[in-house]
Amino acid sequence: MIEYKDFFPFIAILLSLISLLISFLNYSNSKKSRNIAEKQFENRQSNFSLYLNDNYYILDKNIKYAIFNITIMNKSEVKNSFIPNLEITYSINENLSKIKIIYNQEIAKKLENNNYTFFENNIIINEKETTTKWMIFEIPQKLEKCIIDKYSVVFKDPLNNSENISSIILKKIVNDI
Amino acid sequence: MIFDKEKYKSYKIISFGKVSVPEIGESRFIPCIMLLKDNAKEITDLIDFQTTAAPGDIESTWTKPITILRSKDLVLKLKFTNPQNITFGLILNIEKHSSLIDGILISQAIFLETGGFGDIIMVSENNKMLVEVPKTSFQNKWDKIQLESTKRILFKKGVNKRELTKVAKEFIKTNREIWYWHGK
Repeated sequence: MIEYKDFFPFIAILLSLISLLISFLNYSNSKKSRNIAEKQFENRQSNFSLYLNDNYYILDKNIKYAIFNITIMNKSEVKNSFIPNLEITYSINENLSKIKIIYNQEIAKKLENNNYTFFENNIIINEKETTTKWMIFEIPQKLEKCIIDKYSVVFKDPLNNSENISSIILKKIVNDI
Repeated sequence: MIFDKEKYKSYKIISFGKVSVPEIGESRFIPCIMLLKDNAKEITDLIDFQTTAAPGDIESTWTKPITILRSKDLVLKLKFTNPQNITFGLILNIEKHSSLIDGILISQAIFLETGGFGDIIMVSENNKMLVEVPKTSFQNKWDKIQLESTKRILFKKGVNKRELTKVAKEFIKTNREIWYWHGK
């Protein structure tokens, strides 16, 4: 005759399996939550990219300017601010050197009759926002006799994350009519 | 309008630039298009002829090449009459030459010249022919073509669909600004 005590091992095995299943579901759920949290964390980190659409080198009243048409894409879910600058790598007497020029929108006032839309000095881009504008830099006269290796526009955010775009040549516009 | 490549010769652009001439369009930039000299002998002859004789009549039409798929090009058909009778097309890629097409429509003119690969477009008017391209209703069509093309480019770069139109319009607007600049 089968007694109810004989079912105890089966009940114990069943309960173990149920608890195993619950543990697995808990693990699966916590893994999903962790992935979501990680994704959210990643999305809130600084994540931006730059595209160079066009660039020119303008000579106006013996002053040289470099202008860049740039698209900046803030891929993050938080807004970010950027300080741009231009780094010119040049060689003089076969030695490579670098000069850093801080972006200053006010320079644009020197350029006559221009109707370009320039970035402001402190660029603020909202979350998931993309914008396209021009940047202008005055090229120091001391670079006149140097061989320019490349022009790099560098965007840096407050956490020192940076992106840059480089160009080895700029199309020349001469305005000496 | 459709461009018949079987009927007329068409030329690809090897390089292009911008030229500003004080006497034309308040020193605004005019696009300068270079065609391959070896392939475009009749254009070289035409330029040589126009530099010594009075310019004849020119009729320009924006057309599309015959294609089953969506056309990636536009063809600017130029018909020269009186005294010379030549009709040909300039092939312009919608994506690659987007700014150049803008320049032609804004300045309503182009400089044509022939040369070789690597030749630099010079500021001087020598060996160039100025062709007027009057404003037509094509501007509205181009605005739509350019917007769609720019949206495709920006989408590939990762711009989200929701703000694609806004971003593309800003992109086109700022890119066009170079054609309106003049130093005087």
